[in-house]
Formats: sequence, structure tokens, C-alpha cells
Amino acid sequence: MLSKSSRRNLLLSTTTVLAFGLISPAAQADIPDENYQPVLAHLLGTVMPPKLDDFHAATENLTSEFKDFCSDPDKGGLEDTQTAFHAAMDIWQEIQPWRMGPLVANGRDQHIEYWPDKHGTAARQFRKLMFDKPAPYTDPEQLSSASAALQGFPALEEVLFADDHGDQMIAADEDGVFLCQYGTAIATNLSTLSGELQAEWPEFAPAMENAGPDSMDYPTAKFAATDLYRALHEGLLIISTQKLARPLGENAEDARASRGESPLAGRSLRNIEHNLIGLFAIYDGTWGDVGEEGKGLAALIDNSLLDRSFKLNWQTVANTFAELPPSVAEVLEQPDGYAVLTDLKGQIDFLTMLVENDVGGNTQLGGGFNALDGD
Amino acid sequence: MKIAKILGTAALVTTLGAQAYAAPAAKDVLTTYADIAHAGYEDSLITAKELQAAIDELVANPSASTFDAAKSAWLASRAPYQQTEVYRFGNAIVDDWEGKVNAWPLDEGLIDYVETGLYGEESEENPAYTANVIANPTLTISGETIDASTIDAALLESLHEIDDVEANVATGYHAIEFLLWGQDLNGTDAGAGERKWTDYASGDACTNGNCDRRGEYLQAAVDLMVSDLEWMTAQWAEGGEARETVLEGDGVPGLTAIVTGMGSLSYGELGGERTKLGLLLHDPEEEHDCFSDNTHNSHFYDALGIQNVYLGRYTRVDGSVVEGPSLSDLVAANDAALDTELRAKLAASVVAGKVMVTRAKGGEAFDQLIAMGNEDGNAVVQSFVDALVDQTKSIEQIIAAVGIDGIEFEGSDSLDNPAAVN
Repeated sequence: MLSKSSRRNLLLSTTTVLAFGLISPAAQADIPDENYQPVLAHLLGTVMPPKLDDFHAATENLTSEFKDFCSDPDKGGLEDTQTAFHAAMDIWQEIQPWRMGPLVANGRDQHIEYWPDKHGTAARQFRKLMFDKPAPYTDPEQLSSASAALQGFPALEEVLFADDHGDQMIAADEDGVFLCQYGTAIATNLSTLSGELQAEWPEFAPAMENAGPDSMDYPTAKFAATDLYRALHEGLLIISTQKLARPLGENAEDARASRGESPLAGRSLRNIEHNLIGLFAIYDGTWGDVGEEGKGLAALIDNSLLDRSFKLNWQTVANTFAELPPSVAEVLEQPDGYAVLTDLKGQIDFLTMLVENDVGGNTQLGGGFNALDGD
Repeated sequence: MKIAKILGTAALVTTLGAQAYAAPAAKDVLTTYADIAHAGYEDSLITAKELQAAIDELVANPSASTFDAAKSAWLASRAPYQQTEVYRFGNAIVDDWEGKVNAWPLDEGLIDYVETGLYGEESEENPAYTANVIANPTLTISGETIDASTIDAALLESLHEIDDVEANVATGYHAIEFLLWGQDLNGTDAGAGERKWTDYASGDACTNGNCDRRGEYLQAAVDLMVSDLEWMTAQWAEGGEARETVLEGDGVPGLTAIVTGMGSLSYGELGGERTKLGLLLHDPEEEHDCFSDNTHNSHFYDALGIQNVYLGRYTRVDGSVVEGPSLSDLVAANDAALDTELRAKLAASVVAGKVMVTRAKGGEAFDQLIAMGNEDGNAVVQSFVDALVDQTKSIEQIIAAVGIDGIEFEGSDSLDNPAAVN
């Protein structure tokens, strides 16, 4: 159960967020297009590449751990593989909101993680897979052309964390042998996808960094920077409307942790915590030990008070997530869990509003698509 | 169902009031838009009534020929309706209503018998997953007992999206489609649903039981759909709420509705949820008209509908044409190059849709095109997606060209592919 002090902090943080959110963007002249270029260069050229390196390394390690485990399955090997899964998922969740270029080309982000699965496709396809146990699904190359629902992190989560699957792999029974081969193929495929992402980013980034009249893709730097703003905005919308609203349902009785992201691995809130790290990098220009403060979208905001209050609001929300258990399920088990999560969603919604009004207004970016669901 | 999101207040800028020359007045553009809507819904109503008559005949005189006639009438009814889908996003009155008529996808086990080996017997998300109204005069869903002894419009409306599960689709085109075709059990192989006409036969000839109740359900569903389409047609007639709403004010809200509808249908709904998602999952369950294998036509007519509202021209089911001052004219007066570009891109999407239609006529339906390993078929579908994404980028530029602002289109998890645009 959450302690009373934790609960109080949650309430206070909301109040704080509300108080700081009342700052209005000031009217300003058009931002010169050349001002957007350094932001693009910093975020795309300096900040993102090391993170893609980290992601690729994490998926290679995951593949290695999976192969080691399956060569001589035991409980320790399973736990090591699960730990490697978490490490790869952590960095993926930071990268996930940067929905642009090679990350989304050819549905790569969906192949890495197909979620939310609104129609229950993964479960249906996985049932059929285990019934038929087709050999192509144990071959990484052939797996790469299979359903997105069967080739990324959620499929690997099913293999590693679902009831009985670990025991079956350790027992090396018929299902277990297939699961080991299939899981290794998924991990290898993830390593391939992350390697493609790592390799393609340096080709993509200059197209945005060198935006201008000569570019067919990005006629202005502002046009290119809009993709970064959208990533920030959409990332928050997705946290609220999918990662939190889905498990929350209509009311406390309707709440189901299983509708959250990564429910079997018990990390639905840990995912959001890492999303916020990657999203904040877009605004601030720092991502862990990479980058430089103030060189993200914040560089376009000529209002230090607004910048400070936005960062304070963000940090308050990030701290709130850091104090929580890693899963929606664990929070919902608490007597006040539904209220806690509802409050969290309100905080994310408030950050979204700040991004729309303060960040969008002061950077003169915004509009266009969002990446939310159709029906 | 969601209403397309409009962020902020649309801001009228000088372009709307002071174009260079030859620009139509916004009111005239919006009048054409409303006229096409009215004609489209009226055509949908006309063809729905023909479907209603065919279903009445099927139920009265079940046979292979009356069954085929009903299926043909359903297929014909889809052409005008799909061309109206561009009105859904941006017009709240349509979006709030649309779910009764064209909700998709559905858990068909709510309605009738299913092959549970493929479909499954239960769903964690849907307590009515296999409720089977036709077989059960009394239903128990989430602890609530429902008297389903009389199958009529009121029962269907009460069951629609029951338990707040969107997949509980009890009404509209796709419920009727399921009752005419049945489940498509062919996976990504050739073939649609293979329901037999004897599912509506009398006495011992009846197959799968409850033929009378199945007929009652089918008639109730089509009667309700006709009623719903009558209502929506009236909303776009002179003095109707939908028409009045788009024509009110300075023209900005109406133009915003047009652009929102074009962009949201192009990108998130048609390009994303209805097409790219199926391709990503290689899953026949992810096709819009999954029982009849008519998805190629539905997608084509969706794309055509987007083009219709931009060009201000719609060809009715009787061959007559409704046309007038268009958004294209307005864009051309402000940015002729953009108008030329968008016309070309809209035409490209229609052509890409037509390629799917041609492939289907050649024996390769949408569910086969999206099959794992069908690289050529996948490419055909991807080309349609690419064309829709490409046109959306140009649709976005209308916002600046005609001086409206703050529009946000529906998007899709399965779709964000700048590479396809480039």
C-alpha cells in the first residue's frame, strides 16, 4: 500500500503543477527559421545516436542471454534473460516516443512493440502459433516478415513471463523447446531491427538538420522541427489515453491492469517513467549523460520563467512516477490505487496542456497529425 | 467512436476574406459540401431500402436466388455509403451517429453461431463474446438478464456496444454483412464467408437452427439502418442541423470540418487502422468488410469520397452529378501549385484503390493481398497506404493556404511513416 506521505506528495504535486501552469505564453514575433536548425542538429545529431547505440547493445545482450539460457535451461538463466529483457525494454521505452524517420519507417516501431492490441490479435495469433508450432517462426529472418504482433517485445514478454512458459522452457518439453527457439528468434529479430535503426538514423538525421528550400522532404527547419514537437505532444497523449486510460477503464470496477502495457512483465508504469526521460530530452536537450541542457525545444523559448516552471512541473511528475511501483497492477491492489492512477493521468494531461499552450505557442510549432488510434 | 480533435480556435486570417481572384466564397464551397453530403446519404438510403426489400423477400421466400439478391443489394449499398465517410470526422453529428451504422470490427459471436475453434469461446475483454442472440431468447451478460425473446430494433439498440465494448456491434452494415455471409473461415486463402441460404429456410430445411429468429434479426437490423439513414439524410437537407452547422459563422468552422474529414480519414482511419494495421498483422480479421471480402471496394469508395469533397463533385447512384464551387477552387485561388499537387495525389490514391479492386476481381481479395509471404500483394496494399499518407501531407497545407488553423487529424498507432511521404 502507498504510504500516507506518498499519497500526500501526489496531491501536493498536482497542486504545484496547477499553480505553475497558469503562466501564459507571451505574444512574439515569428521565430527566424534558422533558429530551429541548431535544435535539430543537437537533438538528431548529438542526443539520439548514442541512445540508439545503447538500444542495439541491449538487444544484442538480450539475444546472447536467450541463447545461453536455451543451451542449458535453468531458473538462473531464465532470470538473467528476464533481466536482459527489462534492460532492453528500458532503453526502448525512452526511444519509443521519437516517432520519426527510421523509427517508424515500414512500421518498424510496431514491429519492435505492437501495442496496444485493441482487437486481441496477439493472443489469438499466439494461440494458433502454439497449436501449429510452424518452423518459420523459429527463424529470425522469416519471423521478420510475420505479423508484428508475433515478433517484438510483447511476444517476447509472453514467452518469458507468461505462466508456465518459463517452466516449460526449463523442462524442455515440446512446447518449451519451441518457445526457446521462437524466443531466441524474436530476440535476434529485435537485435536486427535495432541495428537497422542505428544504421539508418545517420542517413535520416541530416535530411532534417539540413532542412531548406532545396530539400524535397523538409522545405524549412520549422517544418522539420514540427516533427519533434509532435513527438513530444503525441508521446504525452499516448501515455494518458493509452498507457493509463486503458487500464483505468470507465471507473474503479472497470479497471484492469491487463489492459496496460507490458502487464506480464509487471512494468506498465516503469515504461512510462522511461517514456518521460526520452520525451524530456526533446524539450530540454539532455538525455541521461548525453546532450546539453537548454538545447532542445527549450532553446526556442525566450522566456526563462516559463522554461523554469515547465521543467519544474515535468520533474514533479517524473518524480511521482519514480516513487511508484513498476506496474499498474501493484498500484491498483492498494485501497486508493485507482485514485492514485487517476491523479497521475491528470498530471500527464496537465503536462500535455502545457506542451500545447506554452511549448507549442512559444516555439510556434504544432498542429497536424497525432499518432493516436482511429477506431 | 471518437470525434476528430480540433485544437484551439480556428482563426480567420486575411486569405479567406481577400483572395487574389476567382476564389469562390466560403459559403458557396460549404453549400456544395452540404449538397454532396445530402446526396450521398440519400443515395445510401435509397440503396438501403433496396437492401431492405431484398431481405424482406429473402425472409418471406428463402432460396438461393433471394439470398444472392440480398447479398448483391448489400454490396451495392456500400458504394454510396463509403463515399460519405469523409463527413464523419469533423462533423460531430455524423461521428456521434456513425457507430450505429458502420461500426467495425465486431465480435460476431454476440449475434449468431460461430466456429469457436477459430474464434474462441470467450474473451477477457467482452462478456458478450459468444452471447448468440439468435439462439438465446434470454441472455445473461455481466450478470444482467436480458429478454431477447422479441428481436426488434429496440433490442438491437440495447445490445449495441453493450458493456461499453465497442466490438459488440449489433446494428448496421457489418451486422447485416455477417448475417448474409457468415464467418470467413478461409484465413488468408481465397474465399469469403460461406453462409448457406438454408440458414433462413423453414422447417426441416433450416440449417444451424433458429432460422426464424435469424430472419427477424436481419429484418430488424436493416429496418433500423434505413431509419438511421433517413435521419442523417434529413440532417443535411435544407434546414437540417448538419447543414446549418457547417454553414454557420464566417466559414472557418465549415472549412475546418472539410479538411479535418479529409485528413483524418486519409491518415488515421483508412490509411492506418483499416489498411496498414492489416498489413502489419497479416491478419484477415483486420479487414473492414471481412465477411464478404468486399474490403477493396469499401477502401476504394472511401478514397473516392475524399476526392469528391475536395473537387466538389459527386456522381450519384442514378448517374446524375452534384457539383459546385469547391475547396479545390478556393485552394487554387490562394496556392495554385498546392491545388495541382493535391489533385494529383488524390487521384493517385483513387488509382491505388482501384488496383486493389482490380486484383480482387482477378480473384485476390484484400485478405489475400495482406497475407504473410505475399510480397507482391503486400506491395499493392502498401502503395495504397503510401498514397493516403502522401495526400495527407498536402491536405495539411490547405490549413495555411486558406487561412484556417489549429486542426489535428486522427492518427494511428500503426501508421507514422514519413519515409513513405518523402
